[in-house]
Amino acid sequence: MRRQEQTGWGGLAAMGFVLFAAGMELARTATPEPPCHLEPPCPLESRGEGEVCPAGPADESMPGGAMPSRLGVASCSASSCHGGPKGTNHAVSTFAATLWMERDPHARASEVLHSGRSRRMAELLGIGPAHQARRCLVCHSMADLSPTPLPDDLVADGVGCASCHGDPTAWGSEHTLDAWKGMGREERAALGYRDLSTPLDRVNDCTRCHVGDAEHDVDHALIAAGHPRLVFEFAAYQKRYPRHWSPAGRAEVGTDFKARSWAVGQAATLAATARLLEARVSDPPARVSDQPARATSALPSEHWPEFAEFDCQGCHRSIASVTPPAVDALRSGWSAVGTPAWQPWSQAGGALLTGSSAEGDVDRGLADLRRLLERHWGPADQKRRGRIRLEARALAAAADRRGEAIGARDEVDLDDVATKIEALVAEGGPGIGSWEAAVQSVLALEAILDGGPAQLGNAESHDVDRELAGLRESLRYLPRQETPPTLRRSDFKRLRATVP
Amino acid sequence: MGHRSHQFPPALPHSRGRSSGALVALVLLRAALMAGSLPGGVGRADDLPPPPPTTAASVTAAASVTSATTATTTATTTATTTATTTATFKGTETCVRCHRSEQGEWTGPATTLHWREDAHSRAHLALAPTNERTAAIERVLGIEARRTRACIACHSHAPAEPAVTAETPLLHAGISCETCHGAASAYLEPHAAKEWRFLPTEEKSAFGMHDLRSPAVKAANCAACHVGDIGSGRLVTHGMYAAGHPPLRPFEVESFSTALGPHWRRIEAKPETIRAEAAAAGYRTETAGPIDRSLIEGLGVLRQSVRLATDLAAVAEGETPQVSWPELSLHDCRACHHELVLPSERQALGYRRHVPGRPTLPRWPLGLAGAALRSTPEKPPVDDLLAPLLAEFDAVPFGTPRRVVVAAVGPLTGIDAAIARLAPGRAPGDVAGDRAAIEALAAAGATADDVDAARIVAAALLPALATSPAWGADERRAACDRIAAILGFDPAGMPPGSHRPAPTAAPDIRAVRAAFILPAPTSAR
Repeated sequence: MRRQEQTGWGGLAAMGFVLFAAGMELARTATPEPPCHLEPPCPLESRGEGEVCPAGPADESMPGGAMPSRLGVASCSASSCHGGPKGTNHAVSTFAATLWMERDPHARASEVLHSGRSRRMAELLGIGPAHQARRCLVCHSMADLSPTPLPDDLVADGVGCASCHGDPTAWGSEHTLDAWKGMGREERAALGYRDLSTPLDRVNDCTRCHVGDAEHDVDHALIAAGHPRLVFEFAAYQKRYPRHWSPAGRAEVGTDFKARSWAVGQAATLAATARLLEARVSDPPARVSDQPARATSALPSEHWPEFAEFDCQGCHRSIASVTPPAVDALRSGWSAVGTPAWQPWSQAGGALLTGSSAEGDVDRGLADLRRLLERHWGPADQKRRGRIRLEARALAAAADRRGEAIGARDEVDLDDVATKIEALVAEGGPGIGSWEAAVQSVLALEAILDGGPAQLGNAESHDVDRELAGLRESLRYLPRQETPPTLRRSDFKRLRATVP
Repeated sequence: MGHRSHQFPPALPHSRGRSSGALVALVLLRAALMAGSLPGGVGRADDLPPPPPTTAASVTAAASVTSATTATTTATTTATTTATTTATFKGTETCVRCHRSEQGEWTGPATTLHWREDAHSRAHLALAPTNERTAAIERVLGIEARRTRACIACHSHAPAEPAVTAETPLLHAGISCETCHGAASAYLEPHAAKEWRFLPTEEKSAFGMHDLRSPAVKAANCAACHVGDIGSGRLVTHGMYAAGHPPLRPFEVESFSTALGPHWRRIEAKPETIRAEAAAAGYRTETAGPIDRSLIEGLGVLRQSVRLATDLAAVAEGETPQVSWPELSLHDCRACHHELVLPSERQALGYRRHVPGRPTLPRWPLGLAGAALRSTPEKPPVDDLLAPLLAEFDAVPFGTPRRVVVAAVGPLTGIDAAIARLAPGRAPGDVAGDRAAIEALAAAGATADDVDAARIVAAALLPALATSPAWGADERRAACDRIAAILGFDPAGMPPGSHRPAPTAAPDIRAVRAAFILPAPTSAR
């Protein structure tokens, strides 16, 4: 049933794409200057006054971003540009869009908004249909690049080229010219092009949705309505990402690529987490309304404390357990009984990274923020919010500096991270006790061992992979489990034995 | 003898309207705070300046006594005020002197039964350091439970008692006679007189004896510990739960008190001679039948839950707040303490148009209270009645204390009105009325938010349904068995007895709801 539904939407999206492409042609041929949105009726479909025509001819004279007329994937995926046929005798860039459409889940990001779960979420949140709600579309489509609602055919593109590479309105034509090759990074950036060549560039692009920011916010209401919690580790995501570019001559060829990705990923994730906190604690919250229609506007709308800032397990734990919660709490190293920890996922990753660099201000910032939030995590007055904001901003800046410092290194190795994980496991201390710390440790080990400096032989590396997969599996969060699993020391020892 | 007035609880003498009621609450709170610490900080009794030996008790008595009386006449009002300012605990030994006899209609075996059957008499033993769980709690919170006022407030009859140990004789601690019946100093002598028995309840209350035959008073009395009561410093804080205090069970007053092993008899169970005497004296005891008692008590428990919210909010708003806001124990445990599985039952059931993921007030009292409201002529839906208050918890996580105090006024007034509607009771043998109440209960079960709410409803419903002539014997037995089975009630213990659930996984709420769907009454076919 579900499969049918998915196929159905996939088919619909494909159909939409075909129609859209056809429409593009129609628009090109049938609509001369001025842009069609000024002259309704638009040949594509009827749209409201002032809405932007997505497929109208780009007005090159307009400053970038003023009219997102080239947002659509179709503006990149012409067969003579990036949408050519796959083949070994062509440069990958000629069929990058083809690969992307075929493999990349981002291409189907908006489809999921039609699923039963999405419909239920939108209903619980009272925000109208999910596939029309800006709240959802900012991450599930390119709606965040457009000040006006995207038409359905652009929504169907999902998280398209422009989401990561930048709105091509101002550079779409330029980048086909020879002059483009002579332009520097800054010059290109000024036109809205995002350079994604280094892991740091990439992760800073991903965090916008996969960690969140003021506009892209998977908050607690969204999670309670059914959205999965965001758990982002860049190196693991990158490893599993269906690449649509050739690694040759890029960051991927570096021997420390995975270690570097992991390290800058952790720093950037922590920075994004801190920036998100700053946005969430700001007043008034710069957010799309999530109040159900019933809530009256006379009431103050307030989101702090934003529960999504805190350890899920801090609150969502069984109260029927045999051991008193306090015992569990002490075991898990919570800061205070009955008080949830702040962002354990980013904290756990940040803690592993600690020591691999000399930038102590991240640790200090983290400790300060922890103290501030975990001592009193509840409602906060303006003064307190101001303090949280300042601390968050300081931590974000420090983490950004750390990311840049790591990115600037000639060689990134994670030997001290491995040592740290070994020590954590050996201690059996509270650090490894939480699910977040355990999973972060395993993902770090993946980055370290997977083709890292150990230079293992094939057989050995197969063993390592098997043990790593076993560790990952042992940490799978099973439904109906009262407490999440944690790293078993014996499993870790087996892995240790396979690494020379 | 006039009917009792059923405004509950009445405002203190001379208080007018709601705002002064809130002020009075604040005054009481201040008094409680002066007498001891609120459990938010888990203060230690011996760290505090020695309170007058019975201050806290007096405050409790004050709150309860004024709750129990109705201030219908100036004379009563004056007597009430006198009683509240002077009532002191006389100690269980005083009661035992008369109430221990195995024979004797008046003195009865009450205390013997109480000490033998009733777990309340052993409440203080939970504070003994030999109790493993208590030891764990003490370790985590860094307290000595038997010297901590927050613990003693519920586990011992009088906070001023000397420290409790495992060796403390039963008669010296635990929840004693006076905890429920009221501090005895004022009524001790008068109530030994022969004339006492048939005094109107208002007059007895004026002496400080709680009118526990009034379901509303009884519910408030039980809920003071089993839900919480700021005025008397009784609150299991979230810190205490997190340290290991067992959850306060959702409860249904009527079956809970029956399960205790009652040390009392209702007037209809008393010997004919006494009933004749009572009739001759025009003495009225219970006006509400068993179903209505359950319904009123359900409202009383909801009232206490709302009251706790507003009182806590008032304290948090005070000049020197003694509790932190939010106090998580105020909220529905299951708002947070649920499993994170997909697909999620919570998401499938929905949030009744509230903001997803925001803690709300406990949902378990709403089932029975909802049935009670549906049994009044106005039939206000319980969700609508509470809407202004719940909207505050939607607007801001945990609500804004100042606004919560204001928003609770309407719901409290509505609950009081419903109690007043039900309290006069109905004529005995009102089969149609009973049937309507049973149907209201079944409807509440069939729309219950969670399994706890359904359990409470079932505890009130099953005894009534099992004997209702409106359904055929086989039909009602089948319905009772179905409900008891899915909720894990011990069928042998039902009705009315224990509704403690069997230790199995919580049943699916949709199946629970379905079990409450009754066939049409035989009489209606």
